Amino acid sequence: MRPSLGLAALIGGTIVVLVAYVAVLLPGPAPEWPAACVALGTCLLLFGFLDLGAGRREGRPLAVRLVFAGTSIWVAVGFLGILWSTPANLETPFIWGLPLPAAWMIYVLGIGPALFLPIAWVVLFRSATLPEDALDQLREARRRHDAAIESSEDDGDRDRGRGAAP
Amino acid sequence: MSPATTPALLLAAQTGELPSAASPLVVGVGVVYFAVVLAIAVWASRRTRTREDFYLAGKGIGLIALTLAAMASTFSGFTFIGGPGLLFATGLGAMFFVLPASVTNAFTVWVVAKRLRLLVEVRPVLSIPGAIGLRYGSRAAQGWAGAAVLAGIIGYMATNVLALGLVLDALFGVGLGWGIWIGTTVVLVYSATGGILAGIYTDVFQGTIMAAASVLVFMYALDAGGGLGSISTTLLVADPDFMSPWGSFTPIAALSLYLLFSIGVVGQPHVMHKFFMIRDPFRLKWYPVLVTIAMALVILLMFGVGLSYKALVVTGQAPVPDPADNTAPLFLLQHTPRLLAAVVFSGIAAAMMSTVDAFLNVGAAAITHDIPTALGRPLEDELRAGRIATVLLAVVSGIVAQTSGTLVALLGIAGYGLLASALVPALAVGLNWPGATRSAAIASIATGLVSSLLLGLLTWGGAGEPILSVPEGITVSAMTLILSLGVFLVVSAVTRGGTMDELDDDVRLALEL
Repeated sequence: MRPSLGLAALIGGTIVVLVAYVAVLLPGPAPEWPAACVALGTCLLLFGFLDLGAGRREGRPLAVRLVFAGTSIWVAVGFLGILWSTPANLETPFIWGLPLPAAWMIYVLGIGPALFLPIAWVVLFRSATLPEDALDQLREARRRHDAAIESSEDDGDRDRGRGAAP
Repeated sequence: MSPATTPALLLAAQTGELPSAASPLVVGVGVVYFAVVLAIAVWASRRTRTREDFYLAGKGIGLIALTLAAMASTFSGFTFIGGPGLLFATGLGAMFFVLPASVTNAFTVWVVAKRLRLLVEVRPVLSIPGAIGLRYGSRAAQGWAGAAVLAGIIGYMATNVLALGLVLDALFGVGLGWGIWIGTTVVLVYSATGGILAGIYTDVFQGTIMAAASVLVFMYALDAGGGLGSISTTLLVADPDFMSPWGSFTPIAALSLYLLFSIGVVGQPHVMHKFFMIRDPFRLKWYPVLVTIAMALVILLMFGVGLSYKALVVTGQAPVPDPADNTAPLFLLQHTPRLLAAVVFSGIAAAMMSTVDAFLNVGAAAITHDIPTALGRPLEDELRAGRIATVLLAVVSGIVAQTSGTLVALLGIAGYGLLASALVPALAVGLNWPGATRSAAIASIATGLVSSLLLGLLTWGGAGEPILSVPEGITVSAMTLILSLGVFLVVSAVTRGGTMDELDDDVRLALEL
């Protein structure tokens, strides 16, 4: 197993959520802390999947990792804000038509990430996601593969060729 | 995000029907809508000549088509009927079903979309199970994934067909049975003849209706309640729990929904499959921005109608919807112009049909391509077989919808979770982590498939008490997702075979670019 930050986050998130669910399933009244574990685990899993997904042959630019870390922290802050909120009443401040806890959920957790994560993808698309010569590289690699298949036809090694759709 | 539609609409089927909207105007709009869909089917059928056309729209769709088709297939009828009903019944906690939309679209492109699109540059991949088979060099993994897709979509599709029947009955007053078969026939005509190309372009039409109608209905909803501040104040006085972020969910249950719907989206084959089809992978650049905006517009309807109608009920200005899924139909009939209501009712049918057509296509691919390939018996004429499989699947889902009673609810609820549990680890981790192994892929798919079905059965009460109940109301699907992810990681750590090192150079390059 090759170590990576994304993989570590994935493993950590899986363990944290698993522990939370086991704690809830145990006999007796369910404790309150597993909810925070699911929140934390979800953020770790988001970071882990994203970090692995952004991996390329030459590694990941720091900017990408910072965006993912920022997203996970933002979502975590969104969760914690709700978990730690007190019940709203008419004295509770309203923000854009919603009492603070509900506003926190809708605006921070629901809308917040949409304002920067898709934009980050756009901004980093060429530099950190899909280089300009990506298709040329792939076509060249495929051409080499096809040539190798043709030259090894006699070896009966055709079943991995392009003709067999996976 | 449509599984929640299932129990909701099933409840409607059991306890009453959706309020009738039948009127000459509504019927007229519905007829025009179906005429447009059939015209698209005729157009698409003339352009569907090969299996690549049938399953991948000839890899020729553009960004806007991808955006609207992905949005329409993702949401189904949930945001129109199940969502507002759920919000009315459970409070703001219901928003945890849709809050992940702010993350999921960028998450999807970063984690799987680019990889899937690049894979079709080097191999003729036709399906998500096919991509899994290619990644691990394993026909068994492809076969298991194909079986999971079939198991996941049958009930999911049947519940959407059932919901479609209810809506068509409300629209045309034809009765539930006829509604099911009219809806099935229309979807079947365009799916079997025009393949995914017809599906994509009807989705474009349907998605546009969904987004435009949602914005208009949201404005009417705010107006009916006197504005968001007034609605919030009314509800805070009458029912403070309703306005709490968790609503009637426990915190861990709501957070588990977020977990399931944020990460589980990359296991939904009917949505992920569409990334194979985009003509130019560089067009993915603007996809997350556009689809996030489209989804946000559609979610407005659920949010606005759910809150506003609750405020109208607590102030005695509207009747209590019984069942709760009548929330949106009642609001539309009482508080919006009849033409808008007619368009939205057609949009509801549209949303369900777009999900069903996407399922028919991935299901047909599983039957005619993935499972035969896994068994070492690929079919000769996959286009013809695909059309026949589409007909078979549609008929089976219609029969299941009409005859299986409450069992269809279990199948539908389990569908999203089953697909997420079975496919997320092998696909979303496997495409990105070189160390993921073939055995891990098979083990996690099998774990997701079996645990989802087993736990779904044990926790399904049917007409009585369930054998097993999960404390705190946590969704079983979140548990099975974590379980299969854990199995995938552990088995990858202790086995070899099927890692990226063993792939052909060009396939490996597609996964490393």
